[in-house]
Amino acid sequence: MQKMWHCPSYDRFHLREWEDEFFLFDAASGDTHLLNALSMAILSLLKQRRLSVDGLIEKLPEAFGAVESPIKRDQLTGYLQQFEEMGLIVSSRSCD
Amino acid sequence: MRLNQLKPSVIADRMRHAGLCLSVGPFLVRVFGGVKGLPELLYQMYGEATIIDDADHALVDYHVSIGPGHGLRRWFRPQAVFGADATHPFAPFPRAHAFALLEWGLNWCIAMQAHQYLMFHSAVLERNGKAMLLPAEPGSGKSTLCAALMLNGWRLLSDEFGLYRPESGLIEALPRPIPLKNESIEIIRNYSSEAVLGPICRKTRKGDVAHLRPTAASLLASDRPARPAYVVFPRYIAGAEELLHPFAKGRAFLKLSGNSFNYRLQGARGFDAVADLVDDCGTYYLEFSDLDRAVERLQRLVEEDADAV
Repeated sequence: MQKMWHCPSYDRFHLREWEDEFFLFDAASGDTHLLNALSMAILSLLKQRRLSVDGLIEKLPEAFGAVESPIKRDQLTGYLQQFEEMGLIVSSRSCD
Repeated sequence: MRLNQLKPSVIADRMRHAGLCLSVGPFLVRVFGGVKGLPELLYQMYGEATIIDDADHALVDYHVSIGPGHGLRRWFRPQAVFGADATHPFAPFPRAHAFALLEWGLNWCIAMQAHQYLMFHSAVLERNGKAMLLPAEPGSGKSTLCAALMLNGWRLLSDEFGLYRPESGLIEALPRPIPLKNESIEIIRNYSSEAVLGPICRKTRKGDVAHLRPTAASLLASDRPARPAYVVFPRYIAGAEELLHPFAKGRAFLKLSGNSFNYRLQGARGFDAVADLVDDCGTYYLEFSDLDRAVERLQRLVEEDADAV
């Protein structure tokens, strides 16, 4: 079973961008987060659909207009765990 | 009616009985009390402020009092006690510090209750119809710079509170005496012959403190908010060359949201408001040691923008 990630609450976020830095306010937690472009790309992909780490690795190059993924698998897993702790995304198990 | 149209003896009488109802920016404050010397200082410091003779009790924002200490403390090392709506949030102060206690007490009332505004710990002044916020931590020279700008003809909206109303995008005027501390007292006394300072309160928790009277023009315009155009983070550094440079918007957002008393309480409204402010204003960092040069540089900033329009 693969672990799947999703960002169901993207629409409740308030967002601003200055100089390639993203400021995200999460109305559920009341927290403000400072994110880089890669983090925003991940959240944006997970807004659209549930994805596994492999699915994200496949989709991220397109989001960045690159040939290869801008992040390694282990690093991406770290990002996702951190986002989950921050309450920005949720995980689930899939039989896919 | 203006406060300075009453004699101090009449002010004292009102404070002892029905209360003196003072219009302080957007707030109505009813002041009670019988502490010697306080009516004279209110007369001196708030002279052009509006007083309301028949204010409806329900429309008064804050009912505050400065009373004498209890028991022997009425006579032996007399004290002043601050009250707000029947609570006494602070320990008594020496009676000679009664005015400072009233000012700090009023700050406390506003900070605790005025959440219709996004509140910044910031001086705010206006020049050519444009408001400049000077948000800063204690010790940054904010009040000294604010005093110097006011004494150069800028309108004082506030030394302590930037009261921003997100719905209108305006900052309320809350012109009140500027508390100068320690060395700043003599610096401002020597800076301008127009500076009217109250007595020095020695050895308060913040050191020596004396209040600078707001200019008459500032008090007379206390019902006029202003649109923010600049956010300047000042920092006094002894011996520093005067330096004003643009401050990155993202950094300005972090500093400004961290500077707000009630950013977190405001939720999404606070986030959007700070972001709008940062988007709409020029954001700068000012390092200074010489007051004249700092004032001249900020005036030039506003005038250059006026010329560019």
